[in-house]
Amino acid sequence: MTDVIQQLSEQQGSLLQDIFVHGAKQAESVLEEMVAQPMQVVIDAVQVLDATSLQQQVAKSYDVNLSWICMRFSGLVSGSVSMLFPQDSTAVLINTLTQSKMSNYEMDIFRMGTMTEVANILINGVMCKLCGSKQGEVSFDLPDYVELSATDFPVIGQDYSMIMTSNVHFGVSGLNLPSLFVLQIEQKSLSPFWYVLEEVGVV
Amino acid sequence: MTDMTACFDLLQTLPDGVCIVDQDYNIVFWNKRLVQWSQQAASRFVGQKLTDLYPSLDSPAYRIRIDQVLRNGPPAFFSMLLHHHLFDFKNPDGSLQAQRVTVAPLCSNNEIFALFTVVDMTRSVLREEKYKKVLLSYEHEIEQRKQLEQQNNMLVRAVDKAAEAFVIMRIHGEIEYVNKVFLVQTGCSSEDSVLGESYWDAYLMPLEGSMNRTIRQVVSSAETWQGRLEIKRKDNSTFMASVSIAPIMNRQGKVTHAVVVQEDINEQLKFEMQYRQSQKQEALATLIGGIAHDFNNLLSGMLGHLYLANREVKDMPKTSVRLSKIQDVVNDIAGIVQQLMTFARKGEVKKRKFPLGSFIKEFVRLAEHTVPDNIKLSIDFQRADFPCQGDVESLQEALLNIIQNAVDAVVDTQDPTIIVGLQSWDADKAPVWVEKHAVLAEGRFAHVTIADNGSGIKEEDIHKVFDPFFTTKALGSGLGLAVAIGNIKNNHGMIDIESSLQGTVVHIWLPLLENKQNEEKHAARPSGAMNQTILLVDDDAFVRDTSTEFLELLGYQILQAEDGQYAVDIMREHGAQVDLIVMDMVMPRMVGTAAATQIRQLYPDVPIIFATAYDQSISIKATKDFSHSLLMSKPFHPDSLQENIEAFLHLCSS
Repeated sequence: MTDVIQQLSEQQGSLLQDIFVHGAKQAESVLEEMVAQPMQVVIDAVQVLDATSLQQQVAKSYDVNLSWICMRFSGLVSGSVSMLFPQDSTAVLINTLTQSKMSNYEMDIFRMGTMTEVANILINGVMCKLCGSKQGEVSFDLPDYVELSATDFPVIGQDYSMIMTSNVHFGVSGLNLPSLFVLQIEQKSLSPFWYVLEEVGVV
Repeated sequence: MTDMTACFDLLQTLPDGVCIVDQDYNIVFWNKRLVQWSQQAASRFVGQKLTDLYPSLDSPAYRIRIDQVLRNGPPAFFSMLLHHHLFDFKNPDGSLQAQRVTVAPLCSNNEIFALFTVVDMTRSVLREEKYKKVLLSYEHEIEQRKQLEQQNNMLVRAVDKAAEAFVIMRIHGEIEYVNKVFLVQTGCSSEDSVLGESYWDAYLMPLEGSMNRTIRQVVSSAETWQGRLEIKRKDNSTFMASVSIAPIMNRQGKVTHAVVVQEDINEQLKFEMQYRQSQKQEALATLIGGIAHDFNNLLSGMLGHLYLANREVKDMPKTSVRLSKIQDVVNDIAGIVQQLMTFARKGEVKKRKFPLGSFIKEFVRLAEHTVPDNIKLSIDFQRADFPCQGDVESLQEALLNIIQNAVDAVVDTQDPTIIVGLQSWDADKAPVWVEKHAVLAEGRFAHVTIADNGSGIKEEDIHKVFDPFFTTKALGSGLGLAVAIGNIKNNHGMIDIESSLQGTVVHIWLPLLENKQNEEKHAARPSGAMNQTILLVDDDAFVRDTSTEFLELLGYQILQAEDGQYAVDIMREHGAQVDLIVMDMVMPRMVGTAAATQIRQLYPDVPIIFATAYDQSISIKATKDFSHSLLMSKPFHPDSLQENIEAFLHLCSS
């Protein structure tokens, strides 16, 4: 695979940051109501990476096991959107959201489901903006849950895919729980992607 | 809706619950599975608002996400832990159904619907719980095993650090475990070389009779055997060990293994032997002390009578000579008794300060005359100091006896040599001696060594050499080293001996002088004083009679008492006329000091000469508080008794 890091224009960067922030804000309000306690979901500046750089960043930033929740989409725009949670963040989030005590890092189907839903809420908050275009539809698969070690993070996307990432911080009970939001747009979908972003803007 | 109708037929066949709502949340489809779970007809749901039937879905947290789906957004996922029972369907057992719900957009005729898929997770939950229980039991078991392993490790570490050797063997003797101490004790190089060997055959010396079988039987019958066994080392040498063999039983109560705890007691046995030796010497000393006391009394009587007889036969020179010779013999006997008393540490010690270095040099110079010319007697030190305090004569006697023994030992040796050494004692450099004589660990000592290159002393004899009358020489008295140990102990020193085929070394440790000034008492010389009354107190009639006769000859008036109580009674009646009391120390009814105390209450200044046939050091302590008193050792020669009486009376009167 040849990685070519494409640069975002200022406007593209701004639009992208806006929809990421929108998703984070929506996730924050939904999660707060669900657990009936204050939560903060803060998103950092968007970065554009190639697949290899992403692998290196994941391996460097998270020297632990990860929960990876990924939703693929196709249609007018094709690609995938995913979230990575290191196991410490996973454990605290599950304990907080389910009012339970997770004594170990062993994930069962219920804990996997919980993390899948947390990622789904944030992903939907971001991606719903892409679905209102008059140019065509974007259809999504159901979310997949995968556990992997930080050094085994796979190469995502095809050649010349654009990968946009942002660190997401969940603020719970004074703790800062890091995670990573990853949006990958296939090369052929880049034009419609930017078009749709410009078309729908951000409310 | 035409397209949708075809879709409904398909959705009816799905194993999961499916319902479809329109943009207004009105239910347009409710499949058979949901009918089954809700136990109500589809008509009860279709046309109704979902949020009316399930009001919780009307909250913003759900509406935001479902509305996005209804705008053809990404599917929404509702997990089981966060939502539990989105639809309150009951299981056959009455419990609420565990569910996972996904909501996805469904487009039909340009209208977007929300397709709810409800998955029954009840079985998964049960399976998960079962799995977790199994997992927990495994974790519990693993935890228990870890704890057991930790305990085992702790035990193994404890056993490895123990001072005793540990062996675990199968009941027939095959060794399965030994600790490090066992390897050290037996001189084995590694655990591997021991495992599999038979403890009974490889490490136990053959036992007498059926002992071996008895031990095995005791252990086989689940009892513990304890005793002393001789253990064999790899180099075929042996050592004595205190051994405990305890059975180890399996769960069925059958003895399968045995644990052996084995302590090397060679050192302990040495101490026991030394203790027994010391006890034996103490007993001997007591016995000898008693005999010497009786002998001294008898000799006192004999000397007195000889003196008197000699005076009576002044005109019979031949008889006088014979009596003098008998007197010499009696004096020799008194000398032997004195030597025995020295061994028994009951001799008189005349202490004075002296530099040990110079003393030994001078002693060796004198001793050279007694050593045959072919034997080289030398010293290997230069220093003249090492200040000591003690009885020089008794030390000389001790050293002379040791030198004489060394001379006898080197007689048949080529280049016979005796070397006398003297050095400061450093306890750290000789832990072996400190172990044997704990007092050597503290205090300052001079260390004297007399080494010879003779034939050495046999191992079985070395612990007897200080016994009186023990000798390996045809003409030996067996008193040489016995006197030496007594003399050294009288001077608060220690003596020990080591020997090998290359020769013998006698070690003597003498305490170095502290800076204390001990004034020696000097008795004043008397001048004559006669016609005075002496109360003579002694339980031995022989001593009493001869002394009376002798003293009367000298012009003294003599009153006699056979014990302390009688002496007190006499003093009550005739005390005013008594000028001096000669008082035996040890008597029946009332001892000398007790009688003296009572007499001094009647006559505080009456002079008393205490006479003792026992250890003067003890008597000195007992009489030191009596003013106007003097201590004399028995047997006393009439002349010395006369001298002492005259001098003492003179001193007291002045």
